[in-house]
Amino acid sequence: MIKTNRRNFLKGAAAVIGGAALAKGVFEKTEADNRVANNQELTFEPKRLDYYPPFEKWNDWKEPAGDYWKKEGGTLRDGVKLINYMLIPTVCNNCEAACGLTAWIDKDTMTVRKFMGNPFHSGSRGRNCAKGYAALSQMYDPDRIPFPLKRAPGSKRGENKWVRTTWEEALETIGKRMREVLLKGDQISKKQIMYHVGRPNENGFHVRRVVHSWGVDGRNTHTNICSSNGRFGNIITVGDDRTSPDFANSRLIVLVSSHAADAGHYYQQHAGYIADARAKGAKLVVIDPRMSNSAGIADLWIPAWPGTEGAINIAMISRLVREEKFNKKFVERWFNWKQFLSAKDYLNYLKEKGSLTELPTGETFDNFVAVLKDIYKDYTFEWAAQEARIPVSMLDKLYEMILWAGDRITQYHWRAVAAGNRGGWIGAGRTGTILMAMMGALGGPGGTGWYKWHTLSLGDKGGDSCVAETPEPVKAWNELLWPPEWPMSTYELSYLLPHLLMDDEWREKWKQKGLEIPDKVEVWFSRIYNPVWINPDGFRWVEALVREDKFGLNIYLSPNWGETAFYCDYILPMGLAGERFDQQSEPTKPEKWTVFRQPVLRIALQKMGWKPNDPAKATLEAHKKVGFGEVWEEDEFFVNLAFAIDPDGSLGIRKYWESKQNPGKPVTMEEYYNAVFSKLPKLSQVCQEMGVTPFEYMRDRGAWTEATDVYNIHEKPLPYDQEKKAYQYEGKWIPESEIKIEDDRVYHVEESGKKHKIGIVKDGKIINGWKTPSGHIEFFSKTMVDWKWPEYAIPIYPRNREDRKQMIHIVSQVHHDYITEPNAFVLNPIYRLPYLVHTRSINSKWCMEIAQNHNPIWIHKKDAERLGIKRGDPIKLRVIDTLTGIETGYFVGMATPTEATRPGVLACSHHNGRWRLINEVKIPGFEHELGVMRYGSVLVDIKSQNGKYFMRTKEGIKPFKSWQYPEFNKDTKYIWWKGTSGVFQNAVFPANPDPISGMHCWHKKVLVEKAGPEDKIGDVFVDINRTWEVYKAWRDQLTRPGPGPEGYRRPKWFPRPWFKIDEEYWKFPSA
Amino acid sequence: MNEKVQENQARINMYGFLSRLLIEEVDVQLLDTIKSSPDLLDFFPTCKEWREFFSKDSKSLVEEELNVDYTTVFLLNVYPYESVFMNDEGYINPSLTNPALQFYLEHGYEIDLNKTRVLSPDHIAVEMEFMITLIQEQLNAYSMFNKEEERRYILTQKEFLENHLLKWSPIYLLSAKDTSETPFYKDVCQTTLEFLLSDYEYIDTQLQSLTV
Repeated sequence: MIKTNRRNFLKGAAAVIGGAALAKGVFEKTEADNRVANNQELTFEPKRLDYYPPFEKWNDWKEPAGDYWKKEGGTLRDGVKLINYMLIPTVCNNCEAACGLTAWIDKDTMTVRKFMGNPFHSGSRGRNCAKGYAALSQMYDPDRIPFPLKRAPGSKRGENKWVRTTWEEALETIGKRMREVLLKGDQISKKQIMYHVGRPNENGFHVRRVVHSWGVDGRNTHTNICSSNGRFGNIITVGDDRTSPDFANSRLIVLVSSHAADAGHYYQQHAGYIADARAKGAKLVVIDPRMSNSAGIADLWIPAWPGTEGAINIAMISRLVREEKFNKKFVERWFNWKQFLSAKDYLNYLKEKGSLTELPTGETFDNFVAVLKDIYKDYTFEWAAQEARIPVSMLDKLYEMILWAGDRITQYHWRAVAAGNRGGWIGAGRTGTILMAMMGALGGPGGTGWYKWHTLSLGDKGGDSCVAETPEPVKAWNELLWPPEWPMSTYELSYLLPHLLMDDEWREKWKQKGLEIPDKVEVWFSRIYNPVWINPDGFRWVEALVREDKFGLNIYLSPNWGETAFYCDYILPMGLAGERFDQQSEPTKPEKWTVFRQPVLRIALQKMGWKPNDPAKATLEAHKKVGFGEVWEEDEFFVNLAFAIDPDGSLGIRKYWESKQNPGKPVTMEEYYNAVFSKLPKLSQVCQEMGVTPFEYMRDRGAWTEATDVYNIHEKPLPYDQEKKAYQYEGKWIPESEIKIEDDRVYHVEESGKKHKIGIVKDGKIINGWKTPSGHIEFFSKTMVDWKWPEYAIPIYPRNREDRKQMIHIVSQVHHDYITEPNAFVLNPIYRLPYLVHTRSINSKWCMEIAQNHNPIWIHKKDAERLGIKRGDPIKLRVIDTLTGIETGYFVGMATPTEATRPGVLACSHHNGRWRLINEVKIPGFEHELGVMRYGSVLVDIKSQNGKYFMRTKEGIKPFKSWQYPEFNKDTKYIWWKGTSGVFQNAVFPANPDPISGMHCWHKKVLVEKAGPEDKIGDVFVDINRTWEVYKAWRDQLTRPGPGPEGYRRPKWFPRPWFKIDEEYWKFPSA
Repeated sequence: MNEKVQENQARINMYGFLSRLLIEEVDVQLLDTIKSSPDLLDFFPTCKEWREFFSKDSKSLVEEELNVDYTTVFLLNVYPYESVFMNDEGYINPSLTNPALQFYLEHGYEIDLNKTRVLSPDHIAVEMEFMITLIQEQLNAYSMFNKEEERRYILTQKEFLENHLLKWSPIYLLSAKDTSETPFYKDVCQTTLEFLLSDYEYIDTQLQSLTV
């Protein structure tokens, strides 16, 4: 044994001259985090991709023109013309990710030359996807609507006869109509004004404050055709509705029928973080029947049968429990296992049902683990492999990765798993979130956080710039949005609006129970929302929209044409990414960032000294001044509309939009958004130090990050003030005396006796906990029991055919049980394409060009071979409802045999397949014809009789000469593509509302046939009498209507987005 | 050169020297260097008493004794990989999921194993080489008067020793020592073990001096 110490070693080692040289030199330092702040000097040849002009030069930046560069570049630099740019930040408006943009405005021509990224945006990090850069082509779209249009007097909706009108006339007419409705003041009238929005891309100005200020329950969204199933499972489990994964620091990224690494939410931001994580060694697993681009680059692609993703999750849970390899510390601390074990009736119920063999002998954590083992004993990998129709080895691999990744797992289940399937919420948030929680992967670095932790919803918070700050709770409950059949629906049942309006029997039934349901919507706003095309049962929408006894006044707020526009009364051209104000914040990473969308030409003009005549209409005036057209924006429009509805203030609406600084005048955007951004303490402090206002800061930089490293909010204590002797909760101080603790739950008890949970007690401290009634992660949901769904109160999955019959509410409508005929398939229509976003990209010639021939019907090679189908063949897809067996219609598309979809599953994205009724619109007195979606849609002929609709393409896409922005659009004469490589498939889909969440379940069973000699690609046939029957069957056979306990219309703790409803209206009138 | 630089340079040398002995068979040149240096021989106390170590010529010693022992111990019996010792299953994990590799990547280092013949980035010699890299970074930071960075790199060394190298190498080195038949490799194992333990203490001392 040697006797030595450190000194000896170091002394001795000193003699090993060049000892380091003996090493092999295997290590190499990699590039540290890219910082966009570097390399900010003007250079003609940027060496780095993140090169960006220095901020202090944004108002005056010179750069060579592209054309000149081509002609005069290289060595002849003297001949290069420099463009005088001003860079104004804004935000992309194409998808929901809200990536930063900068508009590069040529000050000599007052046109935007290009859109680039915004380096101040900590989420998008100066980068954009194709659609971000394509914002320019949307801005100067040759078919852009240049001025407000009104349905020609004497014409009918759908005839497409239009006249030019003014914004003033539109404001006056709409305002007057709304005033007439509101003056009635009864319950019905509060349900007859509706603002229906697609993806809003703003956080509260319209979706909350505008509609709230009208005092109506009339906010309607697209959520139930998008993400309600994605939300529901999370809400009942953790009380938040959307995961916000920390992809960048994750070790294992699981995309469950989601494609976040290429085109899914949140597009390039998420894709970038996933790439960062993988560079550090993270694994990517994609569970998806289709080989998306994400699946293509994944370490493991699991092509599970659609709707069986929950089986995989639950099998993982089962093995983790069986082998006791789950994170016991986290589970013991955060699961509501005590509540579960104390619910004796429920345990007995599980035993009677056969889910539980033995009742627990006590109420300890060990007892809970024993119960878990018992409940999940049958969910083996072999069972799951059979259910999902995949090899067991894939599950083994996934399990290994889960164990390896520990608490650094992120999961995203935003798309087909949730949106495609009945009961999709089980496979998404319910089992998925519980699986992550079992590993302790909720909330920490590299794990999965939550929407509300990472989002700054501020758009409605500018009230202190107005005479009155916050509107009172609305005194109505609109059953057209929240029908009693779906008391737990996550959002409004928006796509059922025509069904509900046209169903006299349904209204009568509920009238008998004391509900007052209108049979008509008097004023209907559609904002960036195109229900005729994007909703299921589109022709049902057409039938309703053309009826003036159902829709009194239809207003289409959109920069461009859409299928719904044909059936409206007003088309009011609104601004795009660089033409409007919006505050937006999204949960793309564990930070709280917010961005500011702006009308960039207006801001540039104002920076150059221009002043509007009417400061409340500055955006409209600016657009007119630079020759951009009579394009306005919703914010200023709605402020002015409030004055048109309530000119004398007697309705109590005007005060919410009247400037505090200039009483009697509408609030300006500068005043309002300054008040909005002043709500951010850190930003305000920085602004104070810099000597600028928060508005100016955001105007100049466009983005702000209020907090970074936002993790484990559930563990954070509620701030306590010694002097006030009060706790802070959601910005308000609650005196200790008003706090009551029951078990470990902490309530604020108001004077009226009403109590709200504000936190829980852990380790002697009051901390946030989770937003569920128990404050814990609810493995057991008492809410589900109370609202008549006890069988789904714990994460569960049907084990066999018998179970599936009993638990049909959570069995996908395309489960393989139903796909029995030799030519039967599942159709997956809901995946995104990287260059398209539903209805928002038809106005980009660049996006439409690259969209061509990318969206045929994918069919597995073996299936195609079996059916004799070859590439390019027209095939007919007959849509069959599996609950009723009813065939609703068919469509004809082009087949592409491929191995990129699993056998038995077809894929065809419904983001394409646009159509138009006319090529151009003649406007009396206007010299040019207005083009209608000429390069992104096909001209169709629609024939209908007794509810049977047949659509056929008459004409494809042709080159044309544009009168609008002619220089920018001189290339439209070279348009080479003929069609849009997609079919209007949504029309054939009946409305299939999930019985619990209300989500429209998009996947469909189809029977595939080779098209006959009479069939043509693009043909669509649907019988809406049959879609009606299907809808009714789903409603009547599957739902369990309210009211719930104490006569409530929906669980009181469930959010009712976005504004408050008076307590009285939460209950059934009879209660 | 001040004492701090000298000592850390000596650490680098020591890690380099031991890493070299563990990563592949010893060669004649290296063996002669050891034999001829009394300071180095201090690290091989058992060898000093091994007659053949001095009586046999180096080439024969390498080919007939040392290489045979190296192969028996390090290639055939006691695999010098962290994953073997830390996984229940006991197999070498050369994939991206290797925790040591994760550590390298997460701290901004890539690894090129083609320069060696090891099978996985968690070989004991590679882990020791990683320590060299970190010490070099620490010295760079010190030369730039960047105390914060210097401290950060020392902390990383500590973290790496705690979570990786020291977590498994003591038991590994004891097993390898038991298995080896030549005094030379018994000494290599013992010296490495003692050096690693003493280096961990030294890191603590450095941290304390930085805190003060």
